[in-house]
Amino acid sequence: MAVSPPLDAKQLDNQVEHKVVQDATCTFCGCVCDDIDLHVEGDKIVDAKRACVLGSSWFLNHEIEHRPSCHIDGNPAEVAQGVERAAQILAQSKYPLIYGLSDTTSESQRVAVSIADWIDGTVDTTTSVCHGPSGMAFQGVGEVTCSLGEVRNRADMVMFWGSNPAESHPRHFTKYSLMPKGMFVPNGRKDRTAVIVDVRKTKSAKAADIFVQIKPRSDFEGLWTLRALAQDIELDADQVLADTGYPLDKWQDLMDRMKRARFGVIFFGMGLTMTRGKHANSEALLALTRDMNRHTRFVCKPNRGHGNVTGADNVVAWRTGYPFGVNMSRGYPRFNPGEYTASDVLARGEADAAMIIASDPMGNFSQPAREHLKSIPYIAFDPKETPTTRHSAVAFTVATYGINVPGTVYRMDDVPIPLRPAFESPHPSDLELLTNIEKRVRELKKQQSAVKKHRPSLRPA
Amino acid sequence: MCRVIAGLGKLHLGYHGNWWATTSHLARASRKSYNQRRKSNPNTLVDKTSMSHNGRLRTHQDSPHSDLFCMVASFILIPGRTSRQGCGINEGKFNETYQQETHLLQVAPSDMEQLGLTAGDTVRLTSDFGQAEVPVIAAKRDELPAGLLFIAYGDISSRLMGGDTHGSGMPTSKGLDVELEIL
Ligand code: SF4
Repeated sequence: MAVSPPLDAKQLDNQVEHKVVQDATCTFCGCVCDDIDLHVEGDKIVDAKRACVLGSSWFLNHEIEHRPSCHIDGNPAEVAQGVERAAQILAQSKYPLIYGLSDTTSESQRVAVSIADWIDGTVDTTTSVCHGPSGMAFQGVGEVTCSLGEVRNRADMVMFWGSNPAESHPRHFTKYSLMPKGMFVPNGRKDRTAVIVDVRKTKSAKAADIFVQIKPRSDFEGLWTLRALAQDIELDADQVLADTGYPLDKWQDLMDRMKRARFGVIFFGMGLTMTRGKHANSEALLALTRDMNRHTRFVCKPNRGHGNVTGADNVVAWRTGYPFGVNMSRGYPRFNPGEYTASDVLARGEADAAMIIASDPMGNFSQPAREHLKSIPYIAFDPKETPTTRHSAVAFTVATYGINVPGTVYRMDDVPIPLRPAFESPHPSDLELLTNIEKRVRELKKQQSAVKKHRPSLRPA
Repeated sequence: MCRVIAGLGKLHLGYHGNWWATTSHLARASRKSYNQRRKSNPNTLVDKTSMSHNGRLRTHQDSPHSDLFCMVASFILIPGRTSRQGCGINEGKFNETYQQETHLLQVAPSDMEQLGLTAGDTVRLTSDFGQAEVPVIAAKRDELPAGLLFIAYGDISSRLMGGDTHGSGMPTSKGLDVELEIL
């Protein structure tokens, strides 16, 4: 057979396909910007127009990973072997945990919840360690909210509480909340008052008109101060200063401005939910928003971190009735944060197997949780190598959602957005793997129940 | 000769009009007092009673680490996101950007000065749940008030977190009480 001569660099370059993917969706953060123009050369994105620093690094660093698509116990393996081992681990487990799901498509999330159902497992998402407390508060107080489009077109009072979008959601200010010229705020930034409440003078604080620097761990007290002022209740200035680290006259000035606003919004972040008080802090903020509607239109919105964490809440809620921390061991869903949430299930040493999808608990969970996870067999899905994939029994290198894989994600305001991938990956997608694992798990479960049926009963006749 | 001085006390808990000014004030007083004594007789143990007059300093005379000098102060640690850490995640968690960013403790410039720290010095952080050693850097200008420490989320902050979520599913991951020990 004739062997063709090797191509030189120029010829190779001519062979590389150049294309532009318009209106691609960035899934790095909850802003889910769907106006990015990607310049693609072969299997590399060389430019991401309109993406922020995080978005650019998301697109430009996701090349094809030159690693096997599957490792079993640290050794390269066939994907089919990995699927079999994963299904065996899950089907044999007595207390399996399925966790993560915030960086994958809603189509994959749906299948992951099905698997949890077949194996009588617990399914939890990264919501439990970001806005899980807010999820609890929604159930207690409700959420007066709106879409980011409404914020863009209407909001003249924009507040951020315990959130630093300049670092975590860099296009939040320019695309949705502060800078855009909207229908009822035609002069953009000039028509809006920006307020940041935080314990640190973050980069975001520098973009604000008013910076409210409170004492650490005094969010609850600050929010209740505002709730009292919203209802014209007199407060002791010394007490307020001692409790919040911020003087009463300034709180009063802030409340006066909030009341005068035509459309106010409070975005809140993990400064609120991860600090002492947690769901009580979120509850106070939701209640304050509700109270403000006696005076003017006011809404609130958690600033969600991961690209499709909002999708995870939606999918788990429409499949089980609850947004996260759901246990199916009795054949029906039960919800109890603190009991069925991943961090607790692991730190208490309860789970005996796990499947971690698009998340890195070995990198960011508490030490007791990490130690337990390390001690049990688990399956990990990630496009890149992480501390979680390194310690897993089965590690799948997967195609990246939004870059290689199409599907649906939910923006932080619950608006579903389609993905427009740039190039194909040789690695399988989460959806493909999960679908195969589900199929095999169902077969194994059927076999198990058949064996159980034929096992002689020890009970007296 | 043991010269371990432990516990500038729960400085951040005192509130007298301005919580960070209080922290700085007490830290400055304690440090000054310690420095004076150290200058007058660097090889002699600081008298336990007199150093403890404000209940914030103590010496450990019987420590087996005879050449050890270290100072411990209480802080509140705020782990959080940074854009550099975010970029590091995309580059890969075992790459330099992520590793550097998540293994660097930001300290308020005034605290750096009062504790005699310079960028690159290593400190040990101890919480109720764990311990970690980490190099320090001064926080930018007025980003961080005295008494607070900041670190990007990652392995170090996880090591200092407890497993209990108080029925919320979320371990307390911000506002952690830590002791900072200069190594
Ligand atoms: S703001 Fe978020 S979604 Fe938008 S480009 Fe930046 S990282 Fe991507």
